[in-house]
Amino acid sequence: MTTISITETVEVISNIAISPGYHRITLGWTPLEVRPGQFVMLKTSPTMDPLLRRPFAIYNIHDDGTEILYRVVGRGTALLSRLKRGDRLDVLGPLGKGFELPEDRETIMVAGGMGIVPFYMVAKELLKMGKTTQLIYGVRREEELILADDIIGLGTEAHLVVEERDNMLPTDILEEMTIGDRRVLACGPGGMLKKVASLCEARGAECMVSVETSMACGMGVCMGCAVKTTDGYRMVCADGPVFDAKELGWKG
Amino acid sequence: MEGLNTTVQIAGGFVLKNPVMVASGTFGYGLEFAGLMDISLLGAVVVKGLSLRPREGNPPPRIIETPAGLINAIGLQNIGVERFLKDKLPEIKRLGATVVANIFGESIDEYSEVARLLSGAEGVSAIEINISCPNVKKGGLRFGQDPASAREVVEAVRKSTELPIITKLSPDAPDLKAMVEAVESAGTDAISLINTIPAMAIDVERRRPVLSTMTGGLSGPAIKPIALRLVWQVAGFAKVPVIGMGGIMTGRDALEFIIAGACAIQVGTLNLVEPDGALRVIREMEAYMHKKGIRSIGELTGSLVLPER
Repeated sequence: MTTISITETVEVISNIAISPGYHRITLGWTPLEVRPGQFVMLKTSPTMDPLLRRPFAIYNIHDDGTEILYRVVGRGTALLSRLKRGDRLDVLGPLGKGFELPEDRETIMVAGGMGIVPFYMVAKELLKMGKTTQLIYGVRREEELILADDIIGLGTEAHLVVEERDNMLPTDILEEMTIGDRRVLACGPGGMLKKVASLCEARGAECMVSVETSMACGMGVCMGCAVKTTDGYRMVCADGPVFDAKELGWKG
Repeated sequence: MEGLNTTVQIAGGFVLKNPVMVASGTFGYGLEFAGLMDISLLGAVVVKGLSLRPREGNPPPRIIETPAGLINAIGLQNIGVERFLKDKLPEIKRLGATVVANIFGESIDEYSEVARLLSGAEGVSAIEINISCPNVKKGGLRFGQDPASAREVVEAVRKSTELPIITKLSPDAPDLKAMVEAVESAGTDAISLINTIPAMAIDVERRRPVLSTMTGGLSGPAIKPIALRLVWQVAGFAKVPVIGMGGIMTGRDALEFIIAGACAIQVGTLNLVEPDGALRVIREMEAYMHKKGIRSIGELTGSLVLPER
């Protein structure tokens, strides 16, 4: 189930701002096998401060390398955004367990903000499997909708919600929708994930959520990224980041 | 490297092929690293602290990064000694690693029982007693701050095992000299230090502690100068070998501890950032020895040249 991860110093192919504060970096690195929803740990600086690597969801893999979409939120991502073509950085990955995509049923993707990132590869995989792709995507501000351009470009049926404009959340769309026997896959802010999980539970639908936490090692040894499950604390990096929402024991 | 003698004898038959061990809590049970590096090349793997029964650990948040450091409050989450012996130890031995079992107990009896179970198994080279974890309410640091309690723990473990014993000390002990004398008289074969330094971070927006336990233990390069000073002081009066640690990231860092008086070192937080970093530390130490014409690592231990007065 788990793929082989490695640590390697790789070259930056490109690193561009796609919208203020949002960047796309392409690394000259193509892992043998990646599952949608897996992540990498990047050393954003070769110095000891910041000390730890930072986790990033993998956006896309192609023959020339690995793409990551990120938002500048702190010192690590600010340093990352300054890297130029030809610079080198250290990557560890791919890590974690990704989304399991069902053969026997359709899915609904629900994303909030940067939670869109893993779904580009999910959508590509679903299309390869001959499935339809349906996305509910919520952002705070209109300019962030650019993040969904690629996935819509694949032919995904997208319901877009801009919180500021529409005064709505992606979960409002999900609530009005017939889920049926489809599996819901969600990634985004904690509050959104909990709401999605409770809507799915009420309808008896399968729900997989990708959880975000601070991490130190990314490979299950430091036990820093614990999340409470029905089976005790488990590690977001090694046991997740994708969990069956039922395991997380969230009460709506 | 050819012609270099990097072996270190800690006690009796407990001999390391080189002085670089990986510290407890930063290397899992060793197996997690097997795909990334050859763990048999390490001096030893000190496994995640083992208790008699599995421990759930502390609620999140458990970690926060600080300048050149990491504060953790894991709370010794572990699978328990029995599952370690059954599921992990045979595999890590198959990979050729020298294994040191780090143990923890909430009571003296628990320390002693964990040590007894480990001694009955094939493949554990030594026991490291953790009396210095800042992140558990019972046991841990409580034993590590009071020499009389520390003595009782080490005496009890001594009675339950013939394995070499390393006692891991806290930098937070009020009187380290009394502590060292206590654990030496109780029969420890070596001392390791320092465990993490009790530390704290506050979220000023919410005016709350960042960690669920309010305080945790600081590790990483930020603590190295403090660790080095403590290792140097302890090596000055300890009768048993001293294993130094605290923020070691490079071969030169490791050499500082050796020159200060440590016979071996442990790397901890480095493993989380650079999984095979310990192997780089070994290579860098060997390169230094080669360049300086030092044939045996033992020549460097405690070789600090004091300033003339």
